[in-house]
Amino acid sequence: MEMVVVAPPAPGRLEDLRRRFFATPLQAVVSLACLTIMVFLVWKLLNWAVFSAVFTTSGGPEACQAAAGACWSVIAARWRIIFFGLYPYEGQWRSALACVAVVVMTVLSCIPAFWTGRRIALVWGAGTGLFYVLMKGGVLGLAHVGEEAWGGLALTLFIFVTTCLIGFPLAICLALLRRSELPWISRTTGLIIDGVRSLPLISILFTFAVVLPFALPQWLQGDKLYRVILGSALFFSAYQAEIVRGGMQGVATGQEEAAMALGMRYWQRISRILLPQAMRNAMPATINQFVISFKETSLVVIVGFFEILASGNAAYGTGEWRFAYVEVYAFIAFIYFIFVFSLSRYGAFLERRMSVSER
Amino acid sequence: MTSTNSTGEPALRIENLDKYYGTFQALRGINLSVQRGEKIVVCGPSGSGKSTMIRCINRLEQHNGGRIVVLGTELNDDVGNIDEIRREVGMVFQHFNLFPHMTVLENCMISPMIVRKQPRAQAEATARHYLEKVRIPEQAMKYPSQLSGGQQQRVAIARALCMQPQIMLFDEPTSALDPEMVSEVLDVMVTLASEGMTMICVTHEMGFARRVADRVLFMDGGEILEEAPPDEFFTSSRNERTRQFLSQVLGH
Ligand SMILES: Nc1ncnc2c1ncn2[C@@H]1O[C@H](COP(=O)(O)OP(=O)(O)OP(=O)(O)O)[C@@H](O)[C@H]1O
Ligand SMILES: [Mg+2]
Repeated sequence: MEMVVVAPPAPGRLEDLRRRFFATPLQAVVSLACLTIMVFLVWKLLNWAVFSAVFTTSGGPEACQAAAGACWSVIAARWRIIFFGLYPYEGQWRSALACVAVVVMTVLSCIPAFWTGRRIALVWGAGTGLFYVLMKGGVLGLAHVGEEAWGGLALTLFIFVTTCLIGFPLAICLALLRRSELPWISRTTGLIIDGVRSLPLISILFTFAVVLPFALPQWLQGDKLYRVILGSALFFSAYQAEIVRGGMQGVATGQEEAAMALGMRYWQRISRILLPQAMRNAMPATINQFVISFKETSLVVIVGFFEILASGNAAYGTGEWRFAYVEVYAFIAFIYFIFVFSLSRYGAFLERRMSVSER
Repeated sequence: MTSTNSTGEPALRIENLDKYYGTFQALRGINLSVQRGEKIVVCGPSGSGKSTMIRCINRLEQHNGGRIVVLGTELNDDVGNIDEIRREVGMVFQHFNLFPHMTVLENCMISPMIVRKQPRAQAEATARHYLEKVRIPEQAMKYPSQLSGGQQQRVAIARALCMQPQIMLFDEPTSALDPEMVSEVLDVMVTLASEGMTMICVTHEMGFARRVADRVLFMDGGEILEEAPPDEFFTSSRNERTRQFLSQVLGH
């Protein structure tokens, strides 16, 4: 869709402001009132967060609590818990590097130049491999650290990325099976998708973490962390499968017929013709789903993992920093915001990029 | 492969073809034989089964009875046969069906590259050659949505030709076009015909039929009611329904 906007001769800045906000006396009053409230609020916030805030740990918690503004010293004192959870102190540089590895891997796989099967596989293989080696250790002279000690930001990122890496292909498989011409395949798939979607995520996590070990033989169980990731990937894929299916329905039937008439095989038609168009249609909903599952990683705390939010609780929960929970939550909210906001901006970039070829 | 390309073998042989949609019979005992290099024009009222018939030739529809032999290969459940036939039979659709997420050039290159496994350079050379031929070489880097209907249909013809097919099927290639664009597409088809391509065209462009067709078929109710060279077909058709149809398309 192309939109040609013919702009009227642009009025000056001031004239524009006047027309928009001060056109009538009543409007002027309302505008001024809103402005006053906004200035007041922003000033209050800045005063709390910056002007009257304490940034150093030198005075200790008592001086910090006595101050009128925010007590950011809690972050300075406890940032290691927030970022690394219970990970052993002397190994925390590994956890930091692992976070960098995951972020770099994600950023690289967002760049269109990496969207060939081989490159994406390389990026993901290297990224997750590096993460795993750094976190787990036991090789290259790195001390072994079990999954139960992983935590903080590293754990949040790991759960999110692996959930998507497993859940996304699974979602595409489910969506393809659901549109199968064999009714028993499409019905069964539909039943699975609807079944998973009608359960709360917490119950799925709980089942995979706690109940599954009773049902599976020892060698099939794996660590609790990987079972939890599988459960969350399954949940993700059920929702994402419906999003992909919706995208597929938006692709004209003539597209597949043209591809067939050109002699393309099933997988060629799916990968070159159907999916690229379906994913384009499904882009906004897909980004939305990614954002939701990033935030839902915080639910793993109920099966005993200290991801970033739970680590935050631990950061202020013990002893002398007990009063500073607002600061800790504000800090964690800021970290969430950075990731989720980048995700949304990336989605907007993709939509712009794809709109070139829109019908 | 069952290719027995003996000299007498026609490009296409259809025997007693039946096709059902559920309980509705769309084709009834179709018989048709097309020699290499022959141009066939198919016409008939809406719903008479024209599309269904030519879509059976490359298995976009599955037939329920009778035989279809294309270039010596029988169309049956053998996937290898279907693939081979689709590689050799090009098709042009009423609504173009270009791939909107690819440029014109990519539209033309994709199938030679992934189906015929041609190297990129060769596929691109072929694509540019055929784009030249349909007279839009300068549009190669555009997306389909940036072209007019007539240009899109010519790209669709070029895309099919890039597979270097031996038979071309056209299903009402001009009926979704504005009148002023019809002739640019028909011109390309006339050129193609003059170069000896085997063509089966569903169209109501009777001027085109007069100029290039070796035989014109008239279909109604899922049957071929009449089959004759164009001059005979337009002047002295025996069938009442054909005459009625002709007076409607030619009339006014
Ligand atoms: N997928 C389908 N399912 C059920 N019936 C169909 C299907 N496709 C076509 N038909 C029916 O088969 C008959 C022949 O259809 P076909 O599309 O071949 O007609 P046509 O001659 O191409 O008509 P038109 O000139 O309108 O394109 C019609 O009665 C149509 O309703
Ligand atoms: Mg038709």
